[in-house]
Amino acid sequence: MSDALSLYLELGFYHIVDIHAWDHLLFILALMAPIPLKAWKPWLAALSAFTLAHTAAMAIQAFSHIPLNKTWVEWAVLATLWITAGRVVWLKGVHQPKAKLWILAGVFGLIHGAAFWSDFAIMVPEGGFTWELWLGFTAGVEGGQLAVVASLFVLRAILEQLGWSTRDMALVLGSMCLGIALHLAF
Amino acid sequence: MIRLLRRPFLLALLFLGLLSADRHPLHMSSATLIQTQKHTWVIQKTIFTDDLESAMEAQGYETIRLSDVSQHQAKLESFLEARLLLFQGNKGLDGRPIAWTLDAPYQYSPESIKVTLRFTTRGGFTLFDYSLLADFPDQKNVYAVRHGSDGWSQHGLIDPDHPSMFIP
Repeated sequence: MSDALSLYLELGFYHIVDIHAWDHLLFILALMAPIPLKAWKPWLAALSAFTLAHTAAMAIQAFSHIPLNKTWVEWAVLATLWITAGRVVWLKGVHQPKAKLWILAGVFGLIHGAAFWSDFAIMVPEGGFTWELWLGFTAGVEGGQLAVVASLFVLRAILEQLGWSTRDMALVLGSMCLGIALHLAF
Repeated sequence: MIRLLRRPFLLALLFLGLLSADRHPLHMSSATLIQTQKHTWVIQKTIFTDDLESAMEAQGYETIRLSDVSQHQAKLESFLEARLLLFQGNKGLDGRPIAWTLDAPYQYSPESIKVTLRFTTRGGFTLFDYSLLADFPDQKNVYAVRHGSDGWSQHGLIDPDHPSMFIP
């Protein structure tokens, strides 16, 4: 693996798995919170839609370089968090099997993709963009996202063994995400 | 416990007050290191304006507003002199120091500062870039290296754990 690929793989991974950076992390937690562990189809659909959408957004930006206002993008990401966590709280943690969560994940994935791009653009030295860097960063982001989802899965499986219901866990996670998301606005 | 869990807004408020969180801090600089002639190199480095201003203020300078370029050119050069170090060979700080010059004026925008440094050297050298590493524990300085008109030959990450990189 080239040093460029491995460097941007690392930057992408730790862009998600970063204890100081809450936005993307909390969104994934809030998105997955109400889905029961055994309902693999909604998990897969929501994750795939989110992944495809933010990868597509990053690819579009790489081709078009549409100017983005970083502040507005950050606020939009925060809004996706409020809506997603707020939805969990509003529904009191109850999973809605007929709700097309993947549509929400897909639309919001585009916004998160724009945010990934604006951060990636800062990490690339001027005139130094190559698709290898893009690929490394994108793969790193996906790896980080998978690590977060896997950790959430294990945590929920343990709590389930301890007698927590999916609904209670969703409510705790959703409330936590909403609380922190509101805090992030100030 | 279960009754408490069914009061989501109470929980939300609880977490709201408990955590000191940040949206997504990004402390990073990026730079190109280009060999323009056989022994001549140019570093073009981009640093966030607010990060640089606060780091300079932390070093004892009075309130810094880098928008006033002519007033701050010398201060910025002095700040970088102590943090951006070059040594011949791969012996780290034991190598022979390489002097660089900073182009004037530096390029200012409210978001970022761009500086251009030039130096000459024969053979490989080691670059130490301590800029902002002491100010932000998560600071990362990214470098892309190019020899002449060839493509990018090397990418390196400088962070508090690895403050240097060797360029062969």
